[in-house]
Amino acid sequence: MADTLSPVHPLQVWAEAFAALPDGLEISAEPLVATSDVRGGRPGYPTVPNTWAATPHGRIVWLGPDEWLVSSDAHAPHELEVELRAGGPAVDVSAQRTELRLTGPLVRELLALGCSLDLHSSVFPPGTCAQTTVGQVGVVLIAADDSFHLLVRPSFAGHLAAWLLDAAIEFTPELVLIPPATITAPVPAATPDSENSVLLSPATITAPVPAATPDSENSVLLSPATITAPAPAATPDSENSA
Amino acid sequence: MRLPTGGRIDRSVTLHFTFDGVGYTGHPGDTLASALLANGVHRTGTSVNLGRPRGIVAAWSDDPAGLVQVEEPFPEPMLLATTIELTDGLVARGIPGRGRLADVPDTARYDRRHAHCDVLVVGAGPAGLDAAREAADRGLRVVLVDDRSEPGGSRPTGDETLVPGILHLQRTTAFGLYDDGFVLALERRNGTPHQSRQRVHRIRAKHVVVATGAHERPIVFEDNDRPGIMLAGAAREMLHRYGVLAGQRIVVFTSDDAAYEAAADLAAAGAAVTLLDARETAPAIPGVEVRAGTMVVGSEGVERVTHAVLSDGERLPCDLLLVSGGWNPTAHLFSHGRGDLRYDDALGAFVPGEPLDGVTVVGAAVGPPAPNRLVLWRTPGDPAKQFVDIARDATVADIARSVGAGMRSVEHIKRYTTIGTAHDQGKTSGVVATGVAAELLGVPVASLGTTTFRPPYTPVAFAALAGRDRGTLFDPERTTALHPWHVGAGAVFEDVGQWKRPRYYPRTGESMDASVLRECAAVRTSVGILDGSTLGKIDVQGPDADVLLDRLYTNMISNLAVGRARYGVMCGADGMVIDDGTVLRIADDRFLVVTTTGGAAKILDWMEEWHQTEWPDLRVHLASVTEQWAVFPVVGPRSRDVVGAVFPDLDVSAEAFPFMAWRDTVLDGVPVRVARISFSGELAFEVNVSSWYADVVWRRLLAAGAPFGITPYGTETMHVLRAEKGYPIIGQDTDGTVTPHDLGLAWAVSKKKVDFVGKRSFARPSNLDPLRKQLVGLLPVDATTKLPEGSQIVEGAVLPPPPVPMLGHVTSSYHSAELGRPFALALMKAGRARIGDVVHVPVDGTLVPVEVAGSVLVDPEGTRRDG
Repeated sequence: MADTLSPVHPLQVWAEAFAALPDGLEISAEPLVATSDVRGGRPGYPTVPNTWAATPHGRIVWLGPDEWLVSSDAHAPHELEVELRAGGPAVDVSAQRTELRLTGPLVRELLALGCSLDLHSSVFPPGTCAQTTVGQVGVVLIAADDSFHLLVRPSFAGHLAAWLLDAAIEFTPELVLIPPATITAPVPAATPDSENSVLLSPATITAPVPAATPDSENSVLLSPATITAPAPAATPDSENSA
Repeated sequence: MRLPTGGRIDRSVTLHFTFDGVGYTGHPGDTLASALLANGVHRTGTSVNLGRPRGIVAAWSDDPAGLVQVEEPFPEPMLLATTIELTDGLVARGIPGRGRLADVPDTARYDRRHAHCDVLVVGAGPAGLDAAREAADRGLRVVLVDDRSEPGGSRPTGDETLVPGILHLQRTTAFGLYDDGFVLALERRNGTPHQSRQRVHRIRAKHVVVATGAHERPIVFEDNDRPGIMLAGAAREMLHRYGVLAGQRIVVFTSDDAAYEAAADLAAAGAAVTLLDARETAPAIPGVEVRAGTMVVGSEGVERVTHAVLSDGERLPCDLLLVSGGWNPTAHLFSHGRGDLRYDDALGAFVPGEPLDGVTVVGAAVGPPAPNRLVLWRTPGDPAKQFVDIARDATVADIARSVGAGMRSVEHIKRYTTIGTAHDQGKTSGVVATGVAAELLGVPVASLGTTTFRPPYTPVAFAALAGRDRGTLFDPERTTALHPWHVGAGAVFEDVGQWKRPRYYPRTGESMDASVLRECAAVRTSVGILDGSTLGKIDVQGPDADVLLDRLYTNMISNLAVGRARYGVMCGADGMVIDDGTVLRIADDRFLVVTTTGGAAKILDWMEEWHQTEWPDLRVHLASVTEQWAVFPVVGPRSRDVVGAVFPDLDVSAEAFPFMAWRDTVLDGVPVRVARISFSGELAFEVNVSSWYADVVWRRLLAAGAPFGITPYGTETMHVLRAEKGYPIIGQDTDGTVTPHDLGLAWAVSKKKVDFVGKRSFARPSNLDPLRKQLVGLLPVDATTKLPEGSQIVEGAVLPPPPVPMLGHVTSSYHSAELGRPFALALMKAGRARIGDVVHVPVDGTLVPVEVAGSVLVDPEGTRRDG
């Protein structure tokens, strides 16, 4: 067994699809970072509603008159909670949300397709944040200098990713033949590690996801191929049969 | 007839289209209606009730008659020919009042977009453009929408000066104005396929300027619905906008000066025009024969008008009969905003009344000038053939009938006659109906008022309203961190709220029943593992955390020791169970509350509501950590071996780690919390870890369990295992009328606590009724019948005459691997007092005898929980 545990990013499977977005629009999953929900306030925390402040290692986001989201890439999740709890109520919520970063000149236009807030730079300048929805998904929306950040619950992250990619088709003429609202989560290839082979040996797990029918027409048209759920062909079973 | 010059069309390009199976041509800039008229086609279909031939009446969305079915490029029913922009290859046909919906999926995209502005101007005619320019000059953020293909209002020239720096949308109809400057507008984008075909703009404006112009209205006469009878302004618009002369021998019938311009323009374009003016004195205009004091009282012609029948008895030949009865301000948006319309006697029209905050009406929408108007609603004739709402085949006779039936309000008359309820929402007929009703009742028009305008101003397709919320984006599917693993393992998923949860993991060719029996057996004989990450989790901390929980749970929480867990029940103020779960005491001032999957959001809201509104003095803070923690119950007699192997630093012995205790450990630097909580009666360890590490910890547990054949199991097996132990599922075995006592959970209701939510209700007489329904087990006597959930319970083997007394109903029913037979849970009147009795459950017409049993059917002594 490995000596360290590797975290899995909830948006990992979407990376390729994000990478295929058109010029003017860049979406990436931000690294996982220690985050605590802090109550009661601390000196120096932003008190203006719907604003956030950068710190040397993260940020402090105003969520309510008595609630902040504090992140730090210099702490382990539980360490951050322990440190913050010394000053009052705090709880580790590092895995409660995951973060998307959106940049490029098309971002405001993209968000306008699903966020009812006025994101004009005169109204929602860098340093602003809000708890709102994008499509049907609740997010903490953060405006930075040259990017917007969406903090989303990981259970909704796949839906949000699909929603963003579907919205981006508006700016992507080459994706013209994707039928509306058909994007689904890419299924990751199983990691070929030793744990897996142990895992797969008992007969309890026998049904691999069927491999995608090779369809040359599709693969050309969907050359940002990840967008329509390419199924893996990497489980040991299917490798053997091939 | 198409004129060689004039209009806003591009004669250098020819478009081919088909109507009623006949091929025609037109040009870019045409509508289907203008192209049909250019080809001499007036008749577009037949009416919905009477089957009378009908044609194009107006030139835009106010047309009450020219409905067509589009077949290509995509089937769409009941569109107005006047609003369909002509495209090459368009195929359409006339309809008998109704169209048909497509039977193939619409492959076009639709979406919505949010916009914000200081000033929204609706209408890009001269008044709207002026307003937009003025606002933009002041540095305001401006959105300008207009429903036509180009700006310029009723007489576009192509030379309009546009306003730079604003969001200017043509082909965009503001179809509804709501509170606080919220306006919905539909844009017909006609873009390339990767773009949406139609877009709903959701515009939030600090101020709305309504510059929507006016609609011409007809004068009603006998047989006024024939093809070839149009509004005068419509024929003029056909001429100026499309270069189409809709007839050669034209009769114009009016009662004011406005239609004279139309008559003069049509005469100048080469038509022979006779103008009939109802007024006794009429101005003269060059090139037009004007007859004062003359009215149209009827028409002739079947497929198209051939004669106008005049009040002096003359039958005047014509191929186009134009009518103008005045102009109504297009005040719909003002009316949507609750603005009152006021009848103006001089104008003979309803105009915007008291100003609205945030809404300004400008231009003709205020009330178009009405030079020397004689207000005339109808001419003498047979009321049964005088059509008021052509779209609804509704006549003056229908209004007379409603008035005769005692109706005095135009709102009632509208509903009785259906006038104003068609696709055009009465744009030409609504005010005329008021005028006719006032005449019939002998009251002033002002005293009747007009019907209320409601959104949408023009029809909006459901596809546009749905936007991108369809297919996979219809409703979010929530997935746990392990979802890819479940998919790879071939799980069959179950919808639990928005969650996708594995229901069972079939082996190749295995049925659900067989899978579940196998999974259940594995758990009871060896070890199984479940993804329980969807359970709601709430972090509760602060010095008064235990006080809050004591008040919200029925049982005592404050005496729970750190390191221990307790099952708890929450009730509403009515004493009925709303949720259950476990509470872990993390520290003196900190708890982890675990809720049901479905109750996660509701219970956090519930706790916040009590805290914020009733007990704000309590020093306690709540935070959802549902998705922070992945939870994997490892369940079964071998679970200790598995958990012990994966977490070597954890002493899992029964002595060191008792039931309903939790322990923290560390796995390769990552904190893990393990709790001895069981929802199956078996020895069980719930492994909690940050969902970052869900995948890797799950795989380690599987690997460690492999020697024992560790079996992943789904929600169905979880349900069977808990039911065998009589553990209720809130929402399945309860329905909001069930107390803890009914569930056999009296032990979880504190008798010591002074108060808690629901306590008072337990003393109500109905809650003490010995005949209350109670949770019991049911065992079919034949040991083979699985009772359908929801089945009723009756007493005897023979049904008495109705009404048959019902004893209760089946809430959960499963096959049990452990019992080797089916069993059920049920809510049954006085159930616990009847244990051992045989009652009956109707199944497929047969009364199946069932024995009433206690709700705990497996291991009632609880010998298994410690392994």
